[in-house]
Amino acid sequence: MKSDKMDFDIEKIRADFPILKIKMNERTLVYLDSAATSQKPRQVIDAIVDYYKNYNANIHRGLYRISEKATEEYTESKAKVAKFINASGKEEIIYVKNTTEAINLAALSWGDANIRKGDRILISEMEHHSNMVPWMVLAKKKGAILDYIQLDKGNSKLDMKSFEKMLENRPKIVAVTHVSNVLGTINDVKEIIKKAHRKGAKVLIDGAQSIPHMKVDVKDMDADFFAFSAHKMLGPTGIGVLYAKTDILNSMEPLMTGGDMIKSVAYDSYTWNDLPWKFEAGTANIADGIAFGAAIDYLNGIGMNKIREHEKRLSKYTLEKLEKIKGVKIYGPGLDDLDNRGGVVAFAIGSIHPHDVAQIFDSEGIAIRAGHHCAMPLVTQKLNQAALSRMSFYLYNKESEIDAAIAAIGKVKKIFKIG
Amino acid sequence: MGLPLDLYAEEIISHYEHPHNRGEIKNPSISVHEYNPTCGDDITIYLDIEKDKIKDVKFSGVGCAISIASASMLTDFVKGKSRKYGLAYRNRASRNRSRPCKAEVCNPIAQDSEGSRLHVSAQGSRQKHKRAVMEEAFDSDAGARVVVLLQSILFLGKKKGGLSNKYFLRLQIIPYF
Repeated sequence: MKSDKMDFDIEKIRADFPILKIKMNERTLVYLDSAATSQKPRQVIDAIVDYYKNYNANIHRGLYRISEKATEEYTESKAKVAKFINASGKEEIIYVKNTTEAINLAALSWGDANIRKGDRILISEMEHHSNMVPWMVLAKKKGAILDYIQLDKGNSKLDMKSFEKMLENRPKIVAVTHVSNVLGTINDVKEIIKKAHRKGAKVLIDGAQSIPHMKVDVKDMDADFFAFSAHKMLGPTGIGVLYAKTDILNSMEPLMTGGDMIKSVAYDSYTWNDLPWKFEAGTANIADGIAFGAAIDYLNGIGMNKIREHEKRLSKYTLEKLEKIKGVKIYGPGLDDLDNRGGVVAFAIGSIHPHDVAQIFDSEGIAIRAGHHCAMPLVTQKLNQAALSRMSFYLYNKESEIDAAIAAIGKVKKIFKIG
Repeated sequence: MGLPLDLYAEEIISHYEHPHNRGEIKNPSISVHEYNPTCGDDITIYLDIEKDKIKDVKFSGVGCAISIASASMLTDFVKGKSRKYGLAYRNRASRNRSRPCKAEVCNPIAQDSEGSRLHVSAQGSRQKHKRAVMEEAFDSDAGARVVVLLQSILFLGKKKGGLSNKYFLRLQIIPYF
C-alpha cells in the first residue's frame, strides 16, 4: 500500500489541473464534486484549443490536409475509447452527447423495436434518473411492465435474491448502474450480466460513475450496452458514448437521419452508413471528440488501477473521520466493504438541510453537492431524506482536502448549535 | 477563516428554529405551492384575504434554514397589509431610489404596471436594485438580506378583466447558487 502511494504523485497530477489553483476568497478551491463533473487537465483543454486554432475543418469530406487531420484525430479518439474499454473496435463506439443520450438511444431504438406489450423491463432502485425515466417512458408507451431490483436491508447494495426473483419474470432487458452516484456502491455487474444472459435478457450498464474511476472491460463483463460520459472522466462536456455489441448495433435503426450517417441517397432510396457513423447524423462534436481522446491518454498515463487505489484510500480516510463525528450519518457500503465502494460519500448531519451544509462548505471554499442527486426515488422513498450532502473524489483529491471538509462539518454543527 | 456567514446570523437561525406563521389555513382565499428540485425546498403559502387585506397568512413545507427563516419573515411582513399599502410602499421606493421600481423590473410576470399590487420582489442579477427595494420593505436588515438571498417573489394582485376580483399570488423560489 505504501509503495502504491509513493507511486502516485498527487502534486504532479494536481499541477496539470489549472482550476485547482484558483482561490475562493483567500482559500484554494477544494473540489469534492467530481461525481457531478470532473475537472480538466491542461492536456484536454489544449487539445480543444489546438483543433480550433490549427486544424479546424469538417470531417469525412474535405480532401485537404486540415480536414484529413481532423478526421484522423476524431476517428483515432474512437479507437482510443474502444481500446480503453476493450471493445472489439471503433465500430462499437457511438458518440452521443452524454450518458443520458446514450441510454435514450438504446431505449428509443433497441427498446422501441424489441419491447412489446406485457414485456418486462428490469432496472434497480438505485438508478439515476437517466437510467430510470427512459425505461419508464418506454414501458408506458409499449404497455410493458417495469420491475425494480430491490436494495438490501441496509439500503446500500442490490439484493441479489430480489434480482434472481425478478429474473424469473423473464425481462427482455436489464438496465443497472455500475456504481451508484449516491451510495457509491460498486455493483457486481459481471455476475448480474451472467445471470441475466442465462434468462435470455440483454443488459445495459450505466457506466457514468464507474469508467472514470476503475478499469472497465466490456468484453470481460459481457455487457450488451455500456453508457458513459466524457465529462466525468477528465474530458469535455457534450460528448459521451453508447457502446453496444456489433450485432446489436447492426440490428438497430438510427434515431436521427441526415448527413454523414448515410452511405448513398437517391430520390427514392437511401443506404445507411457503416458503424459507428450510422448513428451520428450531421456534423459531429469534433473538438470535444478529439479532446476526449486526450483525456483517455491522460488516464492511461496514470493507470486506472492506481486511480482506483488512490480513491479507495481517500474513501477509507473519509469514512474513518466521518464515523467519529457525532450526529453524522453515512450512506452506502461501510469501512468493512471498501472493495465494493467507489469514491462517493453521501452523508447527513443531524436534520440540517443539505442546502445549508453545502452553503457553509462553500463559505470555506469547498464544493460539494447537495440535493437528491438525480436519484429522487432512492433518496426520498428509500433513504427517507428530502436531500443528501455528497462528497466525491477523483485522482486529484488529497487527504488535506478531506480534512478541510471535516472542519467544515464542525462549522455547520457550530452554526446550528448541535453537539 | 472563510467567508463571514452573515447569512446564518443568529436572527435567521432563530427564525429557522422557531418559525412564525407555520401551519395551514383551511379554505384559504389563495394558496401557492412551489418546489425547487435543486435543493429540495418545498413550500406552500396560504393567505386569508378579507376586504383587500391580508387577515392571516401561514406557510407549510420543508426547506433549508434560509428558506424557512425567509418564509417566516416574509409571512410576518405581509400579515395585516393591504394592497393599498403595497402601492404606497412601491411609490415611496420609486421616489427614494434613482431607479424607479417598475413592475417589469421587479417582476417579470407582471404585465400590468398600474400598481394595484402588494409587491414584494427580488429577482435575477439586479442584486443592488433588489436590495434597495427589499430594505424598504423590511425593517430588519437581516430580513432584507435573507429574502434578497433567497430570491423569493411574493406577488399578490387583483386580476383585471375576465377574472375580476380574483386574487392571485405567485411565489418563486430560486436557489441562491
